[in-house]
Amino acid sequence: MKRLLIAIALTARSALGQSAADGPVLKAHAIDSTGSINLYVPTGSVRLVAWDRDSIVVRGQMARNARLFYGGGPQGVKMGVEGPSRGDSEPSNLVIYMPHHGRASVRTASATIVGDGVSGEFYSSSGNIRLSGVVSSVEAEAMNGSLDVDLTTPWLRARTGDGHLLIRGAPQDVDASTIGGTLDIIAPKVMRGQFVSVSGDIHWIGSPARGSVFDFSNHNGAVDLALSPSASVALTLSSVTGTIENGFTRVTPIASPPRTLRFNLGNGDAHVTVRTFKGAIRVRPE
Amino acid sequence: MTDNTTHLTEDERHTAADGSLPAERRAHVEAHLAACDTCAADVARIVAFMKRTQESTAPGAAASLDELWSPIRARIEATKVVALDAPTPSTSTRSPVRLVVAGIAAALLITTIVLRIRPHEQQTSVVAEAAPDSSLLRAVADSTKAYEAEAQILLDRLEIQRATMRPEARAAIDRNLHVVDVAIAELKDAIARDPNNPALRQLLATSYRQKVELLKRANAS
Amino acid sequence: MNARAPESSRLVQAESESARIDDAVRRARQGDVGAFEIVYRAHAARIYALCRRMVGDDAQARDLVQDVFVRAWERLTTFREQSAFGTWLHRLAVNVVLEQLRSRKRDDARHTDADEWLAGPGSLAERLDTRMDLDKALARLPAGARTVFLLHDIEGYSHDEIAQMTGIAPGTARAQLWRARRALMGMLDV
Repeated sequence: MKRLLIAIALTARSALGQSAADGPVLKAHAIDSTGSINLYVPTGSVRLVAWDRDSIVVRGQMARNARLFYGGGPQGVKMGVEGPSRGDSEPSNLVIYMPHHGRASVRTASATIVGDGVSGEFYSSSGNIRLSGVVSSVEAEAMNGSLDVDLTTPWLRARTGDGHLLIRGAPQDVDASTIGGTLDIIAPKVMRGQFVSVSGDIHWIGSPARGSVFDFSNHNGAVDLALSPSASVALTLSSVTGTIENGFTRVTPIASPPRTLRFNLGNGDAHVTVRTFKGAIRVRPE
Repeated sequence: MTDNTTHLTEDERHTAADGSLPAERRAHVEAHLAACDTCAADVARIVAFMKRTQESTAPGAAASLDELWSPIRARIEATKVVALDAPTPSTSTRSPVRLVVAGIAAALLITTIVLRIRPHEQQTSVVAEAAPDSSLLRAVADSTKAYEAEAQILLDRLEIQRATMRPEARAAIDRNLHVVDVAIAELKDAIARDPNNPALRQLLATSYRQKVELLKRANAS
Repeated sequence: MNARAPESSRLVQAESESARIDDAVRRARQGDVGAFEIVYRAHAARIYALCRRMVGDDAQARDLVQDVFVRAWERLTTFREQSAFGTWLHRLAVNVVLEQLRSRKRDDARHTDADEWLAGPGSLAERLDTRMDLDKALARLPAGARTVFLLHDIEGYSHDEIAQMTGIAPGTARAQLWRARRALMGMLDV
């Protein structure tokens, strides 16, 4: 068994993407190609990299007085960093290579999370989360950390409180919200999108795909849609007390609230609905 | 038959009873069971217990599960994306373009707008005012109540955990909760002045959903 | 008379019901809430039974049934039609309940509930004046032991699957199961 682990580690060293800068190998373990990883790192950083091997390799630097607890079998591994007391955790920085078809469940207190081609659930209280690559589905949540997702995936769910949420890439079905943080979407391949905030501004940039359906909802943050001049969108915009600005045509809503405006750009191939309580709604050329 | 002085381990007894004994241990365990009354009787008890467990039926209340569907549906509807056209039951969900169905109230009820249409402008629409659909208003009210109840349960749990949270985490949760609670209060005031406005009720349901999700995140942190 | 006819007609009926539900799942995946109601009515009883046994409380179980089906709706796009929908739903329900139990216990790093066995397993083997049914006996077990027992002996998951779902080591899961059986046997006078 020990020889197998050494062989995995030695092979792993030569695999694409690994480098000595990742730190020494802490664990190496054979795992099913669809194996799951359950990980807790309080502070520092954790980077997960998907690869085409049926094994997991953990590299990195552990904090002084912290220990890596690790257990599991071929179907899944549970691991984490445990310090002498949670409130006084020093940073640990881990890099984990895991099978591309596996799923990760990652939780941190303030450690940043970076994922490259890894599907799963990612949660941080105050750490930032950055996810990229081609994955099967992702749920990412932070209390007040920022999220930067640049994914090609059928399904994405993203939440943050007052962090910044940036969505890029080609997710198809997106459910994203903030409480007070800004929500920016630059993702033209979205087919179903639900974007919600309470007081953070929401910005969409680009052309919605043909046949796509979007719903934007905001309480008192603004919703700003910067659409390509060639966009083909059917728009329904309504605000209880906020303003509605139409930068494309001379059609305007009635002066007194509540205000609603419906109009089409092009053939109206995508459907966009925007609702606010008092947040301003702006539709303008990109 | 005589008792052996060395009996089977607890692990061996249970795996013999439920048939999960590893193949390499089977011969030894079976030989022991044939020779030891004590272990054989114990394994037989475990087998009898497992048989009784398998035969036990599910707890009742299947009929009353019907009433759970309404709140489930209300929660599902509260998360849906709004389509432009007022959906009819037979057509709204089959079309591949209408991948989501209308939200509970706002998109179905659009007030009349007077528009000046000029020849070189884009096409615009005039939508007639429609009476609020009372069943939709009820559904929104149901989902709001469900969210209120769920939020309270989560708040109660959070109170227990607060003492052990890091100060920065507590502050972040409180900050975000305050933002949502202010929004909810404003919407409730607006609904008190305009109770039949479905757009307000849908915004309230959305805000509640935000609150519940925030509290779930907070409880999990 | 063909003695097999009644059985074959039952089989045909069962197959046609199964096909109806499969069709409802497909339509629900496309956003048809009415179809999802059919799915709900077909599976609610079994999901309720699972939740009821795992949490030992009717009101909580009913709340969990709601959570399970709302999450199932949200995750329908991840259901791969190669596996049985009931199996997928069941697995999702177990995860929802375990999350609930974990959030109550706030200990997702280790899951030993040795403290909950009070003075030791023997102390839980209460002798009662009247026989106790299985559900009442289950409700008296510590949450972790009840979970392992339900998942293995009633729901049929393997030790490794239980370990993966609950985050405890397979050896710990086995030991919990043996203790749960003994405690229940004591309570039920078996």
